[in-house]
Amino acid sequence: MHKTLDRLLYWSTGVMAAMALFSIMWLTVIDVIGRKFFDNSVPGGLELTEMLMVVVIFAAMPLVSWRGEHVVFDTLDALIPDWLRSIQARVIHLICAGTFAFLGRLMVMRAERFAEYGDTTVHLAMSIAPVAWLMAGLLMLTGLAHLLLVFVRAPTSGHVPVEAQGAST
Amino acid sequence: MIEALLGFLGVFGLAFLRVPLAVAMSIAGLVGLGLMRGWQPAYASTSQVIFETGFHYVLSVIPLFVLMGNFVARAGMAKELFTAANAFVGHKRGGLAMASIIASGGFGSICGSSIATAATMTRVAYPEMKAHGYKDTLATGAIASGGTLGILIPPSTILVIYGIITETDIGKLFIAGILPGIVAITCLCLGVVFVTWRDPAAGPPAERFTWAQRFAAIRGIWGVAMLFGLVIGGIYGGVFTATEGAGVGAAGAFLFALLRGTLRPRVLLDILVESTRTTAMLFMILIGAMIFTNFINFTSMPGDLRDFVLQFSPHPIMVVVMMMGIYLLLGMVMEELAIVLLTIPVFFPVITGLGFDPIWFGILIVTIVEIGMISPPVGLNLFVISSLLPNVNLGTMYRGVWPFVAADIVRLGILIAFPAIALWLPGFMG
Amino acid sequence: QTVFTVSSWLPPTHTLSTVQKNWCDMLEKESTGRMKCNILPKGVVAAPGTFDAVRDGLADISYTVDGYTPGRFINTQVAEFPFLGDNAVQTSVAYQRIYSKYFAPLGEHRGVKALAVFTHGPGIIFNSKKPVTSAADAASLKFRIGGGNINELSKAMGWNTTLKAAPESFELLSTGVMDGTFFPDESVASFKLSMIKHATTFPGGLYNTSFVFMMNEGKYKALSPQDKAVVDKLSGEVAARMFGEGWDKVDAASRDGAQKAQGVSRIKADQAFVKAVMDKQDYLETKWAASAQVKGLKDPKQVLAEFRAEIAKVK
Ligand code: NA
Ligand code: NA
Repeated sequence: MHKTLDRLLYWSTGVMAAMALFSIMWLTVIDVIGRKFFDNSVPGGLELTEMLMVVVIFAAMPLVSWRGEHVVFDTLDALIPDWLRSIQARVIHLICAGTFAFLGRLMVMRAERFAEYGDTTVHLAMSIAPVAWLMAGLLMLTGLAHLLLVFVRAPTSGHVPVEAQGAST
Repeated sequence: MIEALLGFLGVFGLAFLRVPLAVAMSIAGLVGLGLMRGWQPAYASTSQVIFETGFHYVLSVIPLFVLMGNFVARAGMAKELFTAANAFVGHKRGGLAMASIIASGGFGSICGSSIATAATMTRVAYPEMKAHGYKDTLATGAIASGGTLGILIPPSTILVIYGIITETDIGKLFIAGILPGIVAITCLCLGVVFVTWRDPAAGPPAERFTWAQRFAAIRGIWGVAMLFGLVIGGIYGGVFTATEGAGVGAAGAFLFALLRGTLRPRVLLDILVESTRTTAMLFMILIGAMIFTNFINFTSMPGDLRDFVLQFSPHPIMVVVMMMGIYLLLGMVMEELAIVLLTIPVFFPVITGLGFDPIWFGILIVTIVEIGMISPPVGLNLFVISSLLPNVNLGTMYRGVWPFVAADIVRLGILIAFPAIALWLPGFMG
Repeated sequence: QTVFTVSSWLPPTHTLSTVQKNWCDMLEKESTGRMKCNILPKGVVAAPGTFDAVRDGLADISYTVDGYTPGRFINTQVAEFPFLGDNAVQTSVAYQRIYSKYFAPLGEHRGVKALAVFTHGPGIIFNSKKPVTSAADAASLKFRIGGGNINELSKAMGWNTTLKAAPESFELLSTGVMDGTFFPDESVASFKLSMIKHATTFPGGLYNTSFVFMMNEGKYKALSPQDKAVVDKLSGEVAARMFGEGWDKVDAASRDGAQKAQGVSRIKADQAFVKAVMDKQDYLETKWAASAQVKGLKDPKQVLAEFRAEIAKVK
């Protein structure tokens, strides 16, 4: 169960985030080369990068939650008896599910505001309400992942999982 | 002040119950702001923070530097760096630990992240040290502290973020990190000397290399030198900005990994997905920290901290020392990015008001962040390494890392006493 | 007693922050202490989110650039056209008059109580490479711009511009990634652009920027009639003039201080150059008029003409 859904998230939102990141990389290179050698930068390159950033961050979020890769303090783990741990994990996933879903709900409000005023990006004049809708949807999906984890047992992981390496700081 | 303290208490209460740090900060910030300013404003500001943090051009350096580090690790460059350093110092007592620190410094010159550096060096250097009978305390302490060089030696995500918040020239900040990086390597190596002097069994010497072998090993690191030259040279020479440098560096690292035949399509996809996961994890902390910071901005804490340090303003250097003291304490219990985002808007005007150089202060901040990442109990580098080494428990790492925390504090003192170490090189720029 | 939470996304030393503070001081004095401000140590949000922050009550009073939320404000773009005026007091006060008469009823700033609208000083072409004497000279350089109407104009002129936030100017120019930027005089000093060597000025400015100074609507409605009267008295032209004076003062200080010290040579655009811009201006005005009509403005071109006439009248 856990593995199947993991694969599903990897091949949907995960790959979506990956493609966005790869695009940002090439977009930057093309922008720099264009400016240096052809006196021309990519029109709206900055805005495209910003939109792709949203995809990178929020599309990868469900997978991060599903694999339990958020940074947690495990300092007290040794003090907690085994029988309590499973209950603790479920309660925490419930809290996370509620929080992510609520943040998603707040982004819905933000999207509605953008739509009401007709906000656009500067250069390409693209409507930005859809960007906020996307954030809202992916945050809710993240909340859903936590909700499922209240019932589905994840393979136990110790501290920050191995794959969580490479963070910015 | 009392609201802020309750807020912190809320974050820690939740975090120690194992609620993810990002979620704990979001909840505490949202509730705190709701109680202080009303729920409607709190909801609105929270959604605004989320949107602005996600839809942010300059922050694209974070995923790109992470990606660069992952490509570079895949291309095997960390291993080459370690071999080269090992060839020169490995035969000394604690030599492999020193080699891991020096190699971390080298890896830091092509990777903008401390955690990526620590994780990569763990895979490369720890097995060698273990095979030569090193104690876990020394091995993990050296890797954890060496890893932090990733954010001091350019390129560096923390310096980019500091540059953005304070509107300080990021190119100059990068260049300013080079000499302090060398000082840091020296101090950490002296830390190894101290540890092996007290306990020679902690790090027995390895075999000596011949000069022919040493030159062969040095030649192996040309790839690193090229990538460093590409990114730093491009920024220095005005071909691209520091922000764009992350994208160019990632593309350069991609080509290296590709040319070395290490990138099958599935591997590439894995690296990309892994980088976005790291990014998402980090941005969730960033978003949580921003939500919490928004709440703190409405409390009296920023003003109180400022007033506290300002009472020392007849002796400006004391202000700096007191600030660093506050940072060291916060660094033990908090995530560093949150500390920077929370305190810089308050402390930075004080520092510039007293006539200190923003670039110098930036280097001090990075040093503080480095210390916070390895000082127990809350040190992200320690968490990452212990997750990679299931047989080493956190307690062992806590014991092993103290000499290196001490070495870092000595280095901080040196940087405060001699601002020229940070300011000399950027002085040559425009 | 009413306490307003006041936010500023620029440093406390910036003219917009200090004028806002002066306005607060006047408010406290005029209301004999019944109303006062609590100015936050840092802005509640980054610049683009400020309008929403005031609307949602996160801050009670703040100011913002209309162009920072593209697509939202169309009528106000009238204050961003070329050749409007050589000092910010005139353009600000005239803009405020036109705004009260035509724009306020159309409600583009709905959701907040707009206390005043204003502009900065005349927009100038700055660069570090060479004197820009013609449209072709400008086309040979790479410029950073910040959006708004100047974005449309540069596109129409075929200039090589890149859109980046104002605080990035230093990095872009000092590393030579960009050759120049479009700013009012003040910004050369406040963004420490010491590499700038050449300035090309236009009669009335190459462009301008529309600002709004605003208060949370709920907060305003909750005031007593007596307090409302005090706020009203200090709003509109009074506030617009204060902000305009602030800009003019720092523009002059930058010209005589930082710019002189770093040896910026100033040239006035000649008639041919002005005409080249003027030719595109017609197209831009027509384009604006069409979108303003969609937003409910009856006769945009006539409003623009009245605006220009009003600028000439203001002392
Ligand atoms: Na680095
Ligand atoms: Na810490």
